[in-house]
Amino acid sequence: MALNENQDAGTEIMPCGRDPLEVVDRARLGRMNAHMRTCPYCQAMITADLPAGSAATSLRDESVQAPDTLLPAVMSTVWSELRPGRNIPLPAVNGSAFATEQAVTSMLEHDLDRLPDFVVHLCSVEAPDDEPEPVEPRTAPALRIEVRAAAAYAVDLAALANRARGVAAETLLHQFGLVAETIDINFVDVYEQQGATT
Amino acid sequence: MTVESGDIPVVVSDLALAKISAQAAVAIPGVVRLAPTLTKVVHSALSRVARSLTNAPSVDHGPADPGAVEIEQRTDGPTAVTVRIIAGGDPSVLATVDAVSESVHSALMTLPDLSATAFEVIVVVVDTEPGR
Repeated sequence: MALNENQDAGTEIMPCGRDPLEVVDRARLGRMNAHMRTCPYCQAMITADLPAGSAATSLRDESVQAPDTLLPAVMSTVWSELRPGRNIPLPAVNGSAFATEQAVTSMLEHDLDRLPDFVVHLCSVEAPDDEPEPVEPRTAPALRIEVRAAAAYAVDLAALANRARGVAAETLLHQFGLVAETIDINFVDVYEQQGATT
Repeated sequence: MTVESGDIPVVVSDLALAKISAQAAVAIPGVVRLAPTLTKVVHSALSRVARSLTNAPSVDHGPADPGAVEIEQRTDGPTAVTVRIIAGGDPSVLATVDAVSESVHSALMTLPDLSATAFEVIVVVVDTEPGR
């Protein structure tokens, strides 16, 4: 025996006057009364629910194994979205384009780290904040760059700073089509080169 | 969105537009990978877990992740298609974003009877990974 076609188990009362959902709930909890044990309508409903109840129990008991790639993917995105920074408009020819301050910083750090006698500790890029972020790029803004770095012992710091400024300016222009308003190089440490004699 | 093909309108979903755009973007030299938003990453992860629980076949978009493309239908202008990428710097980031923009625009223009101004492609370089 089964419910007729027009009977919605969620809203209709069975011919025996019982709410089918309540019958199913009580059966799942093992609290059937005398009527439910003998009533054909209730029994039909309980039988129909057995596969669903079994599947629900199986799903509830099954341990969920997160994919190994899940955490790195989520955290990588979390960090990139949580980093403060504005979108810097790029002078693209086709359509609109922006780079995050992080994108510019990563490229600058990479190129500056290739300078001899120079190790980047911190690089920050700041777009002018005296005007609202443009909806679409009009002209590329001049950026303020600050680099904190360590230098090798006994090098000409002024010359090294000039070389670093040149590399940063070249990277900005070549990679992003951007120019810097200021490029501040701050030496915060010195280090001894491997193999150097002191 | 609805595009016309002769007398018959054809409905193209945002997901379809995102997939077309992602495929066009990821193939460009200088694009290390696409960068989905956090919301899309979490949504995708939850979907994978739900699918594994129900033994449904998993959906793997590969590198052309449509979660890195946002489609914004505008009533007063072209549909904005924002593509988020990680750039490698070779070729230059600027050349890469220009190529991505052109490629995505061309791919979307293969949809029937669209005017050249139907889409505005916006490329966002979320990060750079030089040497990749």
